Amino acid sequence: MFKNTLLVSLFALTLGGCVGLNTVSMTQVPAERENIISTNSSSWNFVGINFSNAFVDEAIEKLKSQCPTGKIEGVYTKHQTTGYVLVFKREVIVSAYCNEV
Amino acid sequence: MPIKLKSIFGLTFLFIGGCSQLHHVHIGEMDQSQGQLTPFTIKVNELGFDVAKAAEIGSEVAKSASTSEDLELVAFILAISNFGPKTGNPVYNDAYADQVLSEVIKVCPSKKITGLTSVREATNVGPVSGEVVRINGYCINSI
Amino acid sequence: MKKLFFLLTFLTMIMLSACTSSVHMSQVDVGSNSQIELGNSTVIAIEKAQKNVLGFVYNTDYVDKAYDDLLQQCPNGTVMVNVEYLTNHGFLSWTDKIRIKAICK
Repeated sequence: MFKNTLLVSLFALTLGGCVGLNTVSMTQVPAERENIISTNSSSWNFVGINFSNAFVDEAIEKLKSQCPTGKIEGVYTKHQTTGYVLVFKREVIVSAYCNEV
Repeated sequence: MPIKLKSIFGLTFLFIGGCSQLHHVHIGEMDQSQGQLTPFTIKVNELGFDVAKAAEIGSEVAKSASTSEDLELVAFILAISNFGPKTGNPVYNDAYADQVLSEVIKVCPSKKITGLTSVREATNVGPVSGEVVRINGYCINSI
Repeated sequence: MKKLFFLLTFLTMIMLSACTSSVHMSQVDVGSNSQIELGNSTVIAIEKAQKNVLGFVYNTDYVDKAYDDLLQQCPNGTVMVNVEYLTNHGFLSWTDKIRIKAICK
């Protein structure tokens, strides 16, 4: 009974997904902040083995597409990793402000 | 191989190593249209020391088996007492990089700064290292 | 042998009283046309932390809270910003901290 309880608890914990922050960065915050744009992109891997970091470029392209004619300012970037036992999700979360020049 | 020779080889590699490690870099915008640029560098550093690794090395080079076991136990206790993510070797002062902003503000007489690059790096010699935060930039000297 | 063991235990107790830290990154960014503001600069400081036991945390909201604080304290934007991310290590647990220093417009 105890063994089953322990197994179920462990399984529940693994579904939760523990997250760790890798890096955070920001550029200057502008005065005009009405128009917030944000995006995130991620990449899954098994036991930390990756063959590409192209998901970062995907985040940039998605951000650019939300502000095609304006100036993107106040870029706030988080790079974090969420672990689910043997499977990991690397994520880049970006938010910024789109101001028309 | 006798333990003494192993120790000598190990220590030699340690000191020849002196590895330079880059952990993070952030490159900022650069404006070259407002005048001549004069480069500056601000560096803050702190001694990084991995006590658990040092105890492990001690257990490897120890002459007697019981001393080796004791040091292994010490290494284990130290490792679980200083748990968590590490960039480079751990330091005993977490405020060594707190003054970089005020230093950057003071460095340019013209108060015009551009092209900031922030580098987090380290120079490692085994369990000891110099943990460095370096900020490079340019002062704009108005035309 | 007993003497050595007690000496090592004693050293361990001393070491345990001074836990270590690790500064992961420190980034400084400056805006253009910042001359006037840098001349009369007041630096604001924000610090947020998250306690983490054995890695069991499920979000990084403390970073977003620090950023929201920055937006509140600098309603007209910033001229210069320094973001520092570090960890204070402990016994089977650690505290992640984010420190933001900025000069407001």
